[in-house]
Amino acid sequence: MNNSIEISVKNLSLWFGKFQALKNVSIDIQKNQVTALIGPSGCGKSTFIKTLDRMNDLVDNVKTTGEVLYQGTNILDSDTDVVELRKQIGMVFQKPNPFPKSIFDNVAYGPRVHGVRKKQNLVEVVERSLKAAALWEEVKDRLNESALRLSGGQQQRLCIARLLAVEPEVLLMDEPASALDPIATSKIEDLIYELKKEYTIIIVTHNMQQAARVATNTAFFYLGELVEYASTIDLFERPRDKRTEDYVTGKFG
Amino acid sequence: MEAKRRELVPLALLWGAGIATLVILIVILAYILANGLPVISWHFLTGEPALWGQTGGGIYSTIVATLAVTGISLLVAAPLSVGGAIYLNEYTKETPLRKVIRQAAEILAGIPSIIVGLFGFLFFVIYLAPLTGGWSMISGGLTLAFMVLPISLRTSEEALKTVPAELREGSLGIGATKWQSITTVVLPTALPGIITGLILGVGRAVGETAAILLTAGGSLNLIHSLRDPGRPMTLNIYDVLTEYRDTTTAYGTAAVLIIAILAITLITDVLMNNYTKKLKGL
Amino acid sequence: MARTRYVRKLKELRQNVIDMGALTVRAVEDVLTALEMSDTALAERVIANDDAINNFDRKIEAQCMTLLALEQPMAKDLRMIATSLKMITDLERIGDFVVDIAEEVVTMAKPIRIPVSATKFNELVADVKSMVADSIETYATGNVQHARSFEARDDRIDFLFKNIVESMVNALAQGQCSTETVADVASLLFIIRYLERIADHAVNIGNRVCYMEEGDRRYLK
Repeated sequence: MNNSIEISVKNLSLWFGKFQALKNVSIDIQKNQVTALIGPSGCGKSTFIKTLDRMNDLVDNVKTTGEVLYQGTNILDSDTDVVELRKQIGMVFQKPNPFPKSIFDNVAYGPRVHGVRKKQNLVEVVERSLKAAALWEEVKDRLNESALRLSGGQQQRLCIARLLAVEPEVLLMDEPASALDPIATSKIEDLIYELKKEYTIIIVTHNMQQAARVATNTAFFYLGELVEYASTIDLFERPRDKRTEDYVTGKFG
Repeated sequence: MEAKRRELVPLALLWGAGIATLVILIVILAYILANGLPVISWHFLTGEPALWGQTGGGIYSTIVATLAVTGISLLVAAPLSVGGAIYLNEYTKETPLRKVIRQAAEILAGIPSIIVGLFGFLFFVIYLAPLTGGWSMISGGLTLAFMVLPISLRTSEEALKTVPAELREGSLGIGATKWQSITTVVLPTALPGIITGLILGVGRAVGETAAILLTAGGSLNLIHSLRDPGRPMTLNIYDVLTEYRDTTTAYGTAAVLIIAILAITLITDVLMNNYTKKLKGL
Repeated sequence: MARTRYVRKLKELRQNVIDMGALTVRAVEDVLTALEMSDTALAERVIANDDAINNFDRKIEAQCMTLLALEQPMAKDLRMIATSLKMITDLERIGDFVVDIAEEVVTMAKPIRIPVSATKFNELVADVKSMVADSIETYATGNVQHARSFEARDDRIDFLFKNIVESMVNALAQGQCSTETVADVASLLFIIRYLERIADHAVNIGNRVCYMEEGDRRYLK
């Protein structure tokens, strides 16, 4: 794993009030690879990923210590431009959340809030992003329809397109396919595989087989700790830690 | 079989309660409209009120006065309540301060209108006389705003609360600022609720009598500026009944009021329904 | 503990492999006894018993495929199933070689006279017998240390094998054999070849056990 490092997390701990959700997590996320975070419910993987784009700021009573280094700076610093950070590190959520606007306006939303005004530019960005999200062919003739009329899988790809339109470096995906049927899930997984050529992707999933299918590296979280982090094949074929072994073989109580 | 029969009694009682509400509404409407509709004519609506003691005049000036005070109250209450709701719901966390502000709004909503009117009288009519013109539309409108504010603040907040957190997260997640998220995503989604709440408030303002009594002045003359005193329709009903026993004008005014309120309510309903449908893409 | 049915199925699989191994060990012992005693009746029985070993092979393979298809096994479970799948092939091949030896015994049908040192031959036989038994034992116990010793023991067997072949070839070349003995020598050469191959398969099993326990793919050659 000597590829260049996109995000370097050092000794990250996080508390919700008195409850410590993350315990001294250190991990280097590799550039242009898919890293999966697996672990049982409540193990801290979603909390971890939300720390990377400062979405935990939205929650009351959160305290963090440690560093998250991205492009040379610690993004946990209070003087970080959070808005700019979220342009570079964007997130897709478990339940697709398209805005109640047209398909076009959904994808154009990002560029518009960042200052792009000219219609022609927006049209180009929207087309490019929808193509990158493997959705263009399905919606190119109905860009002015409401996004809420799309199927679940299409909505999720739309959310991805919306993200790609602001040209991020890192894509965070919090269980992106768990609300989708198997075919839609496959499409998302294929898309992730394609996207990793251009972007660094971190995906939280409770589906181990999905992690096995899409991720180059996998990290196993348990009770707020990063228990094991290895290449996916190593983690699933020969885990080092007994807790990892018990989890991947399904023997957890 | 036995269970079904036992169900019938409570079912009948509840049905009766529901019907009773409908019946009461229909009776009131029917009575007012039956007596008031015949009075309404083009002359009634556009003519000047009759001089002191005489019947047969119109209610044009009262219509204008109603529009004036309602307009002012809406103009003042809308930004305050929507802005306040946005501030409370989007920018603050669940702190004691927020709870206090909400509680204050509830209490304000419960203050009897005559007391609010008394305050309006002392503050707007007397104290701020140079600014408001004393007994005037401005005084009346501002006082009414106090009555509209708590209702629309509450309903606006509720409307904002119904916007799912995921929409805000989705917007913030691609680097929009909080304000951008609010204006382009949250507000449009909450709009039907907010508008409905404002209309509810307006309904209250239109129907308010006690506070108007103490602040608007009661003059039958057509207002030339907002600092002039005037007599909104509700006040007119009270005045013509108590001073001249002019039931005709009273019924007519009442009918106009009721039709106006019905129309506003129904139209708002339809518009908001269409808006929501369009939003959902249906 | 979750997945109790699955865990039970894994145990069944493991036991089946051990049982198949036991049958194979028994077959090796029996055929070598038959060789020593020139017991053609025993040799015939050994040949008949090979069916049981082949049945096991099919049964265990089916078990493994079912587990792979339905249970998404991971980590050690996955390695165990993969090892079992490959191991039964080794066992089945050992069984086939045993049959080959048994057929030679039947062909010879009389006590063998070897124009070479009986000691070396007996040593080879003993070594092979114990290797096969030990390979099953390491699978059952997961004793990696023991399994790692197989390479060295196989080297010894290879040495003995070459040595015996050389001696017999020399004896033939120098005309030390009568016409009857020549036929025996031919059979014996086949037999020790089979024994050497059996030992190789036992070493395979040992390596796979190391992979199963430790997950290091270097053991898979």
